Amino acid sequence: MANLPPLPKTTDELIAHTVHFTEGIDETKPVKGAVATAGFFATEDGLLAAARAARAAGHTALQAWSPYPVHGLDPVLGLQRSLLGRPVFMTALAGFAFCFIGIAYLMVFDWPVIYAGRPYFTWTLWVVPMLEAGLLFAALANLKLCFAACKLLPDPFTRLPDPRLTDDQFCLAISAGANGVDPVAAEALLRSAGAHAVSTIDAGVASGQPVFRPLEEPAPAAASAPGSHAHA
Amino acid sequence: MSDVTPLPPLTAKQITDDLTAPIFRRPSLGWIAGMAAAGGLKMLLVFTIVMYVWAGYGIFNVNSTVGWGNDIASYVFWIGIAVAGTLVSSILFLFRQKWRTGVNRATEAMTVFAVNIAGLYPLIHTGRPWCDYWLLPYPWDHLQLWPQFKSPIVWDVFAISGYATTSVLFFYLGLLPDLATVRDRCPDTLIGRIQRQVYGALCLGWKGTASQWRHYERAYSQFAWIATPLVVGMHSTIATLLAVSLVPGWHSTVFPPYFVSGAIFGGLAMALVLLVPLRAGFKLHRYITDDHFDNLAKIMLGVGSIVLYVYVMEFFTAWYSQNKYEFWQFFVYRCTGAHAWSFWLMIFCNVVCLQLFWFKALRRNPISLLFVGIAVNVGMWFERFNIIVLSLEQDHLPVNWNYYAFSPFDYLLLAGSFGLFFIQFLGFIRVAPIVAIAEVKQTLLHQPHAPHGEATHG
Repeated sequence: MANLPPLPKTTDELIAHTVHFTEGIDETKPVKGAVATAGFFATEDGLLAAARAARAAGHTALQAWSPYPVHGLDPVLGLQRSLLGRPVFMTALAGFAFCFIGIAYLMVFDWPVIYAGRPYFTWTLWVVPMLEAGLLFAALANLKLCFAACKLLPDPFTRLPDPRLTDDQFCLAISAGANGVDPVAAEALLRSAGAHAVSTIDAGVASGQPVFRPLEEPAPAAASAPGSHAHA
Repeated sequence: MSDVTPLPPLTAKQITDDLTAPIFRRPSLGWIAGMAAAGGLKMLLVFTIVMYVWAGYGIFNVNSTVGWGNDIASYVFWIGIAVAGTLVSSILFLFRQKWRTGVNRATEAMTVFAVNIAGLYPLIHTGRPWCDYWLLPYPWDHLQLWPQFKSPIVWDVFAISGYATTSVLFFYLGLLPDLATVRDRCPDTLIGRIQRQVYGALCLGWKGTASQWRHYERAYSQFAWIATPLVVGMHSTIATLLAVSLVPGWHSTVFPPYFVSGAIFGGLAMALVLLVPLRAGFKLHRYITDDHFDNLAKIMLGVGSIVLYVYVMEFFTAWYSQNKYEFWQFFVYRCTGAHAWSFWLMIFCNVVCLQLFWFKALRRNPISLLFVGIAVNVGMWFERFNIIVLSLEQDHLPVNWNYYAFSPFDYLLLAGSFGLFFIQFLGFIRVAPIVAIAEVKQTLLHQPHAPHGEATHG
């Protein structure tokens, strides 16, 4: 675990770190053994309570999976409010400006046409295309930034800690084995918070891709610290 | 959801099972029959377009007086249907109407499919569809001209393309978590493994982590803010396109709100026509409940009343202004002229039939919902026909007066566009969840315990 980053101190570091250990995309540095202990919950309340307990116990490197957004979870996990707003708004303004400048160039300078004797520079009549272009720019930026922030790319081989996490299960993972967090303690914490099953999240060595164990399948003892693979 | 109390409460697993089941089971006979019928109708569209490209615009019956016929009336009709989907997906979202989650996916799909059919009509209407890219401000070396940005027709090009793009993007963003749900439920067979990879690629590797949801929710709510002015602006632009002209019956400042409310009215009627059979066919009674229909019908009653108000006000202003051309258009030509039957059919469908929705039992009865839905669809198509064709038929100069009747190809084009619409909708309901799974779970299972608005409400 020596190549994992040290315990994060600021919120930004926490986010970067959380993404690192849960998404495990760093193929260049395969990590042996468990990198996190994951507790599974049947309700969003269970997930929230466990996240609060983990945070109260001093764990900072946390990640959660849920089939739908759980309100109130972000502050507990230390996630800031998404910052997609301002860049999208600025892109909308850029769209207005682009369209305004473009129309002004076409209608006033490049090829001015006398149209019922009206002046060439009639910006009030350009407001509709400006509005449409600004909103179109904003929509494209909104989607692009959302995909970038969520790290979404066409990936046919995505694996979750458990396929039921898009169905009816909720999961909280505590970075364990790394950062000096004891997997046994992490498991005890998750169980006491009401997890009906606890599993480990490994980074696969052979493939370089993260290998998540299914919920029921017991983890081999070699892959994680003793006691961390008990299942409900 | 008070009407489902005898059944045990829905669990997340039940919701997933119910809503993904149509994707994995074999199609029913009803679906195959519907698809065959829609496919047959679509072939009429293909045939008409081939004939049109081969023989020219003369196969349609527009003439020098009535230059806008079926093309523009049907275009406005389909755009109106698209508007209602955005009402449900964006405007009701901004008004925090949680019940929208039961119907928003279906209406958004309706939007996307209706808007691409709507786009087809003006592209046909130009007469030379292979030159349609001239509508865009594209550097034309051979023409040395630009589109005239003072013209609402150019505004309309921007409005339609911007709206079509945004509604597709919004629709796709909303689909992501549900496509991931489908991905994770693909069976472990050969087909299932292929399906898993296809859905995995389509959902862009969605994981549903807390760090993804917070961006997703923000982007979703921002899309609602973006789509709402777009949709209102788009249909107002179409209305302005008519209102800036001097044709009697068009030259009216009431047109933008008239068109927007009419569009919502007609679009919700189409939503009823789609949702009532869909609920029965897929047994979605616990997701698309009578309460949903009740609410949709109430909104229809509201916007339908606005439309009725405008019908009355058109006559009132024609009389009050003492403009003899307007007076002639409304009091004489529309009520008693050659096309009076289409005016009275519109009044019957949009005004008389709608009054059934004052009764709660009829707002919750599938038969009456379907009846009013179909009636209002017919009525709204004829509303556009009345506005566009009847006004053009008798304008200021009697020497210009002319009559417009459908050619056989006009009928084929209109029928074919319905085929293309239903083929898309029927195809979609078999490949993606037709009710938004993640949103329905959030609405039905969420117990209030934390202050809302942190990430959702941007």
